[in-house]
Amino acid sequence: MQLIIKNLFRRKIRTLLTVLGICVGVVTIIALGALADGFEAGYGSMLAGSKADLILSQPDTMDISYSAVDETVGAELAVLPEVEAVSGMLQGITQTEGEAFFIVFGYAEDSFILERFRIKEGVGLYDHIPRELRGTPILLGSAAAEVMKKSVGDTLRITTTTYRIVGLYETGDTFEDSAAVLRLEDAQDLLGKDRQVSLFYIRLKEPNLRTRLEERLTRQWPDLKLSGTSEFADKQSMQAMMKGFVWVIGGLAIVIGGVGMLNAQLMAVFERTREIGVLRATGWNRRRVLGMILGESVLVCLAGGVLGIVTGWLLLLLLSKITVLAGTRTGNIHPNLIGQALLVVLVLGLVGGLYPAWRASRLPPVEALRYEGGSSKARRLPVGGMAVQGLWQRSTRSLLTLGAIGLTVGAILALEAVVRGFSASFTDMANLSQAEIMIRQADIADTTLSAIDERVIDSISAMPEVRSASGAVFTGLILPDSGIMFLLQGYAPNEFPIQRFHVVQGEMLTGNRQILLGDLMAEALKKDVGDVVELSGMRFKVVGIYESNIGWEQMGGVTTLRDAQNFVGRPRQVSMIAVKLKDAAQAQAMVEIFNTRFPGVYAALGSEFAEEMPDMQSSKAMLGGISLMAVFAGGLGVLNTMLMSVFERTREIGVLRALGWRRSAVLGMILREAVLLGLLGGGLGIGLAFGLIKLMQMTPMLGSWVDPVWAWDIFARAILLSLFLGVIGGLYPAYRATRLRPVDALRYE
Amino acid sequence: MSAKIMIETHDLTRVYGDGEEIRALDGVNLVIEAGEFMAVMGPSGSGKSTLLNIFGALDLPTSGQVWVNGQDLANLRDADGFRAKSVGFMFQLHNLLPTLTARENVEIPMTGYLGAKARRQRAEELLALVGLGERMNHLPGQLSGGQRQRVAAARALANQPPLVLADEPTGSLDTSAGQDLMALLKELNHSQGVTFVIVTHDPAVARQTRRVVVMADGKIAREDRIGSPLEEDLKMWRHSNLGQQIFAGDHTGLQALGISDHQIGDVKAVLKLANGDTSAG
Repeated sequence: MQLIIKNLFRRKIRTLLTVLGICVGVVTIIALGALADGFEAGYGSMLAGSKADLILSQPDTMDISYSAVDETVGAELAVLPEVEAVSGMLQGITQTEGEAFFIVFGYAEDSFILERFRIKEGVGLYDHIPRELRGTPILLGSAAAEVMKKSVGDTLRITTTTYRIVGLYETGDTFEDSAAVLRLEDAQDLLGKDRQVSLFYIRLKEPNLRTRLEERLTRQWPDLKLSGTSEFADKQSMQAMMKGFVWVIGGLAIVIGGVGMLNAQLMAVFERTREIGVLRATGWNRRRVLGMILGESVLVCLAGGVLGIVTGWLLLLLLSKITVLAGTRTGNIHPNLIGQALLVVLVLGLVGGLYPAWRASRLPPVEALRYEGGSSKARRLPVGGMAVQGLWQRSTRSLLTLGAIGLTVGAILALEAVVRGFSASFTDMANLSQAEIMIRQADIADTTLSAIDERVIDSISAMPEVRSASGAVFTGLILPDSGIMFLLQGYAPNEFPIQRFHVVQGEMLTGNRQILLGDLMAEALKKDVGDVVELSGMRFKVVGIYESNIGWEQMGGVTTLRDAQNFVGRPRQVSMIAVKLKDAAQAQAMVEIFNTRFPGVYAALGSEFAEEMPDMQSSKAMLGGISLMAVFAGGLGVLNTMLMSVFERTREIGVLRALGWRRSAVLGMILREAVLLGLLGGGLGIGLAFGLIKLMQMTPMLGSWVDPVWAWDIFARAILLSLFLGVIGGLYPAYRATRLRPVDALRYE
Repeated sequence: MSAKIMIETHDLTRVYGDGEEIRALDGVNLVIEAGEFMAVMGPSGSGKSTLLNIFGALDLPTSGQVWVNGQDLANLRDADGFRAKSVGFMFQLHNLLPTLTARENVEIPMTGYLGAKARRQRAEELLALVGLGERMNHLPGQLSGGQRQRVAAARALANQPPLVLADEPTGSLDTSAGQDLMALLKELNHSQGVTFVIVTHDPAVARQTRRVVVMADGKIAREDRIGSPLEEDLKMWRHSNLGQQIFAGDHTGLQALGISDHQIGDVKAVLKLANGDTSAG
């Protein structure tokens, strides 16, 4: 053990870089994991804390916020003999001052859930509200109030409405305490869900009455789903998606860090060949040598893990001070998550250390003792100058570095192409429906959350410059058996936007309770024209099957606007409006008119709409975050390997300097290698990106969602990024190489 | 006509370490003329490599002065340029870059100073000069130890320096390869007019030069001019234990070898002759 620690300290910089590389991966896992766990735990404790026995909701929605149940169901539930109490709850995701995701709840005055919200300051929503607190009342969670620096009496603007904070509450659950509570009607107004709630909490008179109630409800409301509070919490598919996402991104970061670790350990074995020979000669057996090298890699990884956990904790601490985003609480770093992160690094240490350790243990002592550094076996490519030969000579190292760059660039490139593809598909949509202008709700986090009053369509249609305006509803749901996302769109059957669907079988929609299925979705569901599909409890007759150039549209369906509005619980609300003008040249001017005349909506040219969509903005922010992480991890990997390359060649550099090479010449040589590595890595990254996308496209259900756009600037950026990685990674080592004093370098063993 | 001076030092001193001082060089005064073929000898740690490093502008003296090829090394502005143009280096472990061919290795010092075509031509000439015209495209790993040092010699001469500094050039070679290399260096000294300073601890190597400076504890302990091989052998005798005995009048050693008394007289005469020649210079 002592020897292991000494060995690691002997090469401080390398150990440090390796630890940092691993640390980046662990921070990613911890931060994203805490976010996902926070979300899950938040729902868990919110639902458990409700003290309700059962929950009635719309089945198979992505999240509670997407569920919609008619308010009137509540009154009917309340009179059932098994039911002691019922409370509706409306939940929605909105945007408020500086917060992209802000959760809002709505409860009716008689809700038993309101007891949970202990008023710390001010008054309750339905209490007598003093004169000085006039306005639409809102209760703000204590955690949100702290982050947003708000107190009783202040106003809070959510999308276009301004609320008066009448009280601050505390439930003890950070998820709820980071949100706000509105009167039910106000929440319905805000979220455009007139007379709708997300779910009903039901308290039974006797716990054993559940089965009886279940039978009764299935008969009475076949399109709704009754579940126990804890099973309901487990079923939220958004969390599963978030978790999957955490492990993909975290895994990427860990793998890049792992490549650096493998590199460092291999190098450590090479440079200590003679030392290992001595250990073997003095009686160490293979197992002990193996153990020593493995011990080193495990220790480095654990150190990276611990540092990553601490850094992740600090990062969350910082985030919790500036955002109320659910889950950015250090309290969400549960022992479970820490255990998982440590397990990952432990496995990484063992797997990454295995090959170097195996190599070390296989060294015959006699040969190891005779070893004289890397100069013994020279390999040479028929073409190429010093940089090429230098990289070829250290092929294992170069390969690992290429791997680090390739993975980094490939992942970013693939993601970017997919996001671009997504963006392009929305532009296609606008173009195909021949709409010059597209409109959505302003200040929302996702298009599926957008809600615009239908009256806006009427006002727009009445304008003399407008030929026609038509609304559309967008929403998604998760198919219960396969877990596939189904994208549902609603259009008015006789208006222009729906005409772009190319029906290849059956016919167009003629009325409600009918659906057109995308060809791939029809295939996946094994449905044909005339069959019936059930989506979130609603049954539709398949009247036609369409083809589309837009990948994800093939994995969805189209219903009438009315059906889609009912489906999302937003009667008289649309997600988007497509506008066709009499004179296309006026488009820009009309965009400005719409934006000033209709508060709360956001209009853009059809061609620019996708770029400005909140979904794209959040995808881009996410892409930026991932890229930053990947560049950090990849950069560390390259830095580590280039540094090793310089260490290893210390003597060689000494010779060059003794022979009259200037510092600039040495600098140039190392940088040339770095740039070459960068370019090759970029090439590899592009290849990897293509492969990754092909792989995604081959995945049965996911495939059609992936419709990449390969634009030249993406490639240019990939190459630039690889060069940047190469140069950043090579700069410090090159600088170190030039600082070497020739005499010392020549004496270096 | 006095010869041009290649290297001159005044009280050259180099001290290492902050706590415990090591005086690697301690007031060395030395003059080496252009065209000399000389050796620096001494045990490990005597300061011979430090001396060579300072001559090659790889290291700086702590005090004292040193001029090489007319340049004051203490005030050298472009040490790299100086090393490239004024000195050639040879090392004990040849230090050829393993991934480069013999020709490319010879081209290294010319990189940045000559164009690609000129470099190539010069490298080919030099390799032909050291007898490796046929092996120019071999990697160091495909050459014998002696051949590698020949490449190193060619590399040292790449930029036509007036001075070559060789640190134990025969150290990794067997006796016959070492002798071949020394013969080559001597030939290069003669044909190219290059000054050679060779650090060695092998007396047999030193004896092949024309002047030997022996160092001990950072000082010049002794200086010898080398004559013909016979003279050198005699000188060895003179300094051996047996020789010392004979001069002290102690003949037991010779008698033990079975040498008769009148033969002892002859031996003494020869030794005196050798001694006298040395003192005559």
